[in-house]
Amino acid sequence: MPLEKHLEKLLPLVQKPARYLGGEWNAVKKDHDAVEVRMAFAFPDIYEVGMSNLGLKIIYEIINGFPEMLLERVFAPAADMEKLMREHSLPLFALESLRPLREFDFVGFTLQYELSYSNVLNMLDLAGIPLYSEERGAGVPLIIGGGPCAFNPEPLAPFFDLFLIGDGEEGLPEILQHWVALSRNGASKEEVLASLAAIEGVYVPGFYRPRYSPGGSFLGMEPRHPAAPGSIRKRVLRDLDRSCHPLAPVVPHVAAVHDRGVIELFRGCSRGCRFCQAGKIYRPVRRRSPETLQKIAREILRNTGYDELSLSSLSSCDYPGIAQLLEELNREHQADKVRFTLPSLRLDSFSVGVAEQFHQGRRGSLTFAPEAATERLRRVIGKDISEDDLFTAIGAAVAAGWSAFKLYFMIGLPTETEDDVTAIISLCRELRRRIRSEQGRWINLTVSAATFVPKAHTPFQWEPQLSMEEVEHRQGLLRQAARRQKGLKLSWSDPGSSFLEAVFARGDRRLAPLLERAQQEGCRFDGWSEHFSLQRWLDLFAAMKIDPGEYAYRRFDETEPLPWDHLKSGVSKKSLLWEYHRSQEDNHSLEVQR
Amino acid sequence: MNRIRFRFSCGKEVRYLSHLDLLRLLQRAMRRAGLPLAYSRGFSPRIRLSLAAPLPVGVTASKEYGEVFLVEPLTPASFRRRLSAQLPKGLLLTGVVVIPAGVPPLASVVNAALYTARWKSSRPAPAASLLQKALDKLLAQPAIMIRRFGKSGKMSKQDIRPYIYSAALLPSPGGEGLQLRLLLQVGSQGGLSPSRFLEQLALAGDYSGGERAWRIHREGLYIYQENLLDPFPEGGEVTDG
Repeated sequence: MPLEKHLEKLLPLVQKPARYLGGEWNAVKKDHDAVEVRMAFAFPDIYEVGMSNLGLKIIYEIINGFPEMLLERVFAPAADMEKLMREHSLPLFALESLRPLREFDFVGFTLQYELSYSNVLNMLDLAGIPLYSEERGAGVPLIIGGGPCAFNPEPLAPFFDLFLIGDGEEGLPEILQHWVALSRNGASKEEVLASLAAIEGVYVPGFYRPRYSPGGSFLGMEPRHPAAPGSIRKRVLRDLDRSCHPLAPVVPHVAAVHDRGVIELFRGCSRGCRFCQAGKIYRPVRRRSPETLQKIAREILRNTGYDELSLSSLSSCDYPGIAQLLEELNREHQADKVRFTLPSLRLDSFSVGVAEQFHQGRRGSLTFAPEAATERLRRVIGKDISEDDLFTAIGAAVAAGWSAFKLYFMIGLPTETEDDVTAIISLCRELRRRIRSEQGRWINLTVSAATFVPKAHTPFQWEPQLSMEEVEHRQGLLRQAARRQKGLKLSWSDPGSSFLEAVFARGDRRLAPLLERAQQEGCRFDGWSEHFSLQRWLDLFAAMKIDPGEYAYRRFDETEPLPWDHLKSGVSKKSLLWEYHRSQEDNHSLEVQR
Repeated sequence: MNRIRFRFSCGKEVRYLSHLDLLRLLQRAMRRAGLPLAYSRGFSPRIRLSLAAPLPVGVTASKEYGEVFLVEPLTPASFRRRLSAQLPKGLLLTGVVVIPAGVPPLASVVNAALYTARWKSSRPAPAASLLQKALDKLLAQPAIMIRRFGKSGKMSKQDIRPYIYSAALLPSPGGEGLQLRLLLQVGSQGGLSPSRFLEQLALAGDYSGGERAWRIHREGLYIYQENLLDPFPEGGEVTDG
């Protein structure tokens, strides 16, 4: 039975069947026989999450812009759909052509965060593609990975043929073009990979062998193929302003999590928050000019019909002239009732000028991320904002009409004490009181407390994560302090999933067999609380005789080789170390002052 | 204020969209088309678009209706040309007409939906005689009580018999499968979905194969008083075809 007929039978039985059918506005459907290379872009989460991803929109438009290439989308099927697909032996397929993934030349996974790894393997399994690179020969798609987690992809290394580290705009077309030429000449898989390994940003994990001491310490990565460079420098797109920005993104049929248009103001971040991986791996800061952005906004709105456009970046308030840009955009699109939003707000650069540019949709809330509640801890983590910044920013927003705010904090940051934790609530209390006395209004606060996860390529990559028990204890302190506080809502992350995230964030290749086993045991959607089971993972670690604490809880030695040392983010290990030491000195000097 | 009523069909490509998905899709298509849309007032202005009656998920349709307000007059032909160019595969605009002020909104007057259901399951269909018996039995009941779950999860019992205007087995041309023709109530005064009806029919006939065994198509929406009235006004500026 052809896949489409089969699908027709299954779709009435699942929730939101439109997730699996494609056919949306701006979707690009190309003839498979009329192109020279076919790639499926796999997002290891459900449609609504994946369709919000900017990277997908960028790559989709770039690759489909080449007449000789096609790129289709595939998302992780939800549990009900997966069950039916397995019962009916229906292979995972791409949305545009409804063709099985096996029929593509490349399957590219975007690795957005560690808890999607089980979904990556599950999607390969559902596609009927052998999990391990070495089990895949000719006629099987090459499996390629990218995205932030490709900066330490070691736990996934044996499953992938290659990774592209860094910006994909130029690197991916180059890879596909190379492949076309190589496959025309009948190159073997090894020859293909050897040739691709020469492309800047390409990492072929199979060309490297990790070495371990008899005691099990990681000793370093050893090239074992003549084509393998000693280290891999990330790919950097030099000129963002002139590079392609998606202008006609697919308009999802099922409402996406972020159901709106998006323009990327700049890439990279000039701030030096020491816990933040994005701040390091997306360097240097590259901006688009206001003129380019206005043109892009106009095009996107015309091509999609969205009534909301998000001005995205790691820290949009840091865009020089953000207030003028918002003003221009508002003026141009006022008649069409377009709403412009900023996803991430900086406390110290959020001004009255910016606040006044949000004319509409003021009923929502604004989000700020102080991360830590005391001046000392903020200094330690490199978040250079003061309490005054917080009061000023919120005050400006309240004056402009807002009354609800979301504040992001972290628990378990290096050097954090119990006082730092309870200070979160006293800070919120003080903030509410101040606003009340200055502006005569009570504001509503939602405090979200995430758990600190040490990440590769950051100054805190050597730091241990706080134990789950201790995280729970501190979350308890927070809840207690917040009890009976009016106008204050508290949410926190599950300590178990943050723990797993930390294990994989600093993991090495020895975790791969565990991931394979996890997929077999039914681990899926670990980032979703309704699917995540800590116990199942702990049992797996025990069964595989792996101590997860070695990855999450251990203070890595400053002299020891790290599993991601051969992947160069552009920020040297030396300067990360210098930053790390500086955070300790900052702490010291502040403690002396006290 | 200019009010436009339009008619469209929904093919299999879009049959799995929910009512909200479809509304959002049409609104975005209208914005792309650059129509002079009228917006509601308030903090979050919305396009003043309404559909006559939600189409159940999974059902295709021949004649659905919507209404939208514009701030400037537009000929039906121009409206149609501009919007048609922005509709995805599966959605087809089949008619546009300008509605004078004072006509009550469609959603408040449309009260009947005509469906056809064809047996599609690979399972053998019940014999026509059995189905006819089931129909007779069901329709002879003075009341058909079903359980309904409200939004709060509260269960209530409801009589759906008044919502069935007619239900008949169609003679199948050349023995080409079974076909049912259902005229059911829809709208603000209460209604019944075709799948609910087919469930009840299967219960009455004691055969297996409820709603999922049938492919359902909505032929049209009507204003049902003594006769079935088409929502497009007689002599209106209909552009068809």
